[in-house]
Amino acid sequence: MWPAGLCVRNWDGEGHGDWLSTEAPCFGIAHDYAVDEYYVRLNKNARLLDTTSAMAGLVAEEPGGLFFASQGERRDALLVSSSRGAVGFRDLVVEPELNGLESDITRLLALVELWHQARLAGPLAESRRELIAQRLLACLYATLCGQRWGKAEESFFRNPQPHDSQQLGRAIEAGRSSFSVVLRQDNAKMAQGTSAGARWFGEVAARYDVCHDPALCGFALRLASWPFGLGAAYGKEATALLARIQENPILMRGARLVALLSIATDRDHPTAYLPRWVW
Amino acid sequence: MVVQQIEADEVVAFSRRALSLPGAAGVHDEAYLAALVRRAAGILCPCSDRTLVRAVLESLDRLAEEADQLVADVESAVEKAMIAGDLLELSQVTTDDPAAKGTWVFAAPPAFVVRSSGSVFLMGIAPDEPSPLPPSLNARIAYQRHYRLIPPQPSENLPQILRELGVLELSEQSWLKLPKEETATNFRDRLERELRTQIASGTVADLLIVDSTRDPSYYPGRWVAPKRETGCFVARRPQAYGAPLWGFALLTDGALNKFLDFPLRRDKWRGSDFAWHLQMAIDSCRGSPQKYRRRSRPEGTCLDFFSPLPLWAERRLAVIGRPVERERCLFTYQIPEAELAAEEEFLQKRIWLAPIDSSQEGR
Repeated sequence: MWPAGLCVRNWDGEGHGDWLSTEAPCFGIAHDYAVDEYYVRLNKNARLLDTTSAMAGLVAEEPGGLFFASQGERRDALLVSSSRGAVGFRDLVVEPELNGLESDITRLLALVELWHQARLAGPLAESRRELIAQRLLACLYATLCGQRWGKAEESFFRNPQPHDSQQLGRAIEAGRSSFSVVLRQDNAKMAQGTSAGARWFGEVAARYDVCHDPALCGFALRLASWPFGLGAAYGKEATALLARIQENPILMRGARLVALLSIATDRDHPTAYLPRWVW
Repeated sequence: MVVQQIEADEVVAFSRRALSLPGAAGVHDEAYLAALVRRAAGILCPCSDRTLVRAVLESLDRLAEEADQLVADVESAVEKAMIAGDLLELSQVTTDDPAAKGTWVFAAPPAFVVRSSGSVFLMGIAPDEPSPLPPSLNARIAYQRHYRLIPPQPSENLPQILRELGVLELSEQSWLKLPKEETATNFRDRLERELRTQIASGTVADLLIVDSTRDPSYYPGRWVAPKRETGCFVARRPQAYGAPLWGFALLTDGALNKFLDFPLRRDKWRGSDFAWHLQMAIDSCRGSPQKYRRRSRPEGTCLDFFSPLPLWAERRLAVIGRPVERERCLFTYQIPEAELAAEEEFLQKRIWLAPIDSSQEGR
């Protein structure tokens, strides 16, 4: 058995591999004896549960999963975590597969929101959610800010120190070094609150010709620091702002730089992935 | 999701779609193979070039009618990925991996070079993506065999757009950096002197040498096992694992006396580039230089090549001209008329090739 037409990530030679959600997985199957039929199963996709069997009760398979229900405007999510079958520390870690999500920011944001809001049940649910949320956020910011920025963030989180932010500054964009220098110098202004901070960020972005729309600058800062509840905060404008921010990666990188510098200076929460600003 | 049985051409069609390639073409299509190599590199690199070839061949298993031709085509696609700058060798990267091997190739980060025409030459690999660009720009990529270009549109600053997307801009000058200029005689004599200072070599089984007396217009036919030759020869010696090593061999009556491995220390070019360049110098010094053929076409002048060129020379042709259908040769580039004189001077002065016109053939 082999992946036909495209080589795939993590192919184990026996039919298991990772395809992007945008791809149609194709396999070649050769057999040297007669067979009547093949049983082919594609896993790790979202599964639809019908209400009858869900109401009748079902056992969540290890290591658990995110269960989500919606009716009209109402929705609820429950993260179930179980590790009774784990035989080593590696089995306790659940790594998400995010291949293909990069091409769909809206879906990525919806997933971030979903995991953020989910209620928790079972051991390690909190830490598993934290890891998965971090992976989703890393994917979100790498998509919005570019691959090079994503690498710079990865490197930053290995040692989140304000004085180690030069790589991030360089990753903003070669021709806009002054923009990143000023953001690095004056980012303490964010301590005055998000309203004052957003005003300052908008002024700097306008001064360096990165963006002349204060509303978009504020949105960038919000997205870089607390990408939850955007629909509630911005209403119908959220979709348009999200489309516009994707056309201005320098602004988004600048906003994320300010957020990361705030994380680096927050000694009370050294492992945070998002700054603790209040919006 | 429904599982269904599909035919080979449908597999290729699905695959082309996943790779964002326009149109339909067979499994031997060079743009398709190049895209498959980039995808495999995004998943597997750092790894050896053989690993990339194997991975691509596995994915094309039973899809091609001519399996042997497919192997050659995929090998060529990996070689062209080096020329295009999609793949880098160990000497071209910085790695802190102590286990890094000289045979490894690395996926280059997405980058571009602005050509004099204003179009941009794309290179590099974005893992898990056919390209690092948004769909609007992806749709504008012109696939010229193994290479990718984006033609500019009026009233846009394409380099600025790419820079803002985080794609690295390389200057044409640094991208097309050449080795130090010297005459063919100097180059050959320098290497011969260095070869003669090597310590005596033991016997090497399965040594192959380039017989300079053989017709330079048929490259594979020049490789022979030594018999009773004496002198200095471009050669390849086998090693336990991996492709045979390139070098320069001093033979006496067919027996190996000394061997100088390529590339030389501190030289950033590949062993093969060094060997091909040296053979060009040897042929030129012997008065039988390797040739390129000039062919006039309504759409421009085509230059046909009969032997491989060093990476830095072919990369220059790829950036300045465009690869087109070959005709009784190893590969062909079409060069814009405005650049033709400069490129011919480059071929004659830097790699010592001699021109022939297609009208002169057979005389």
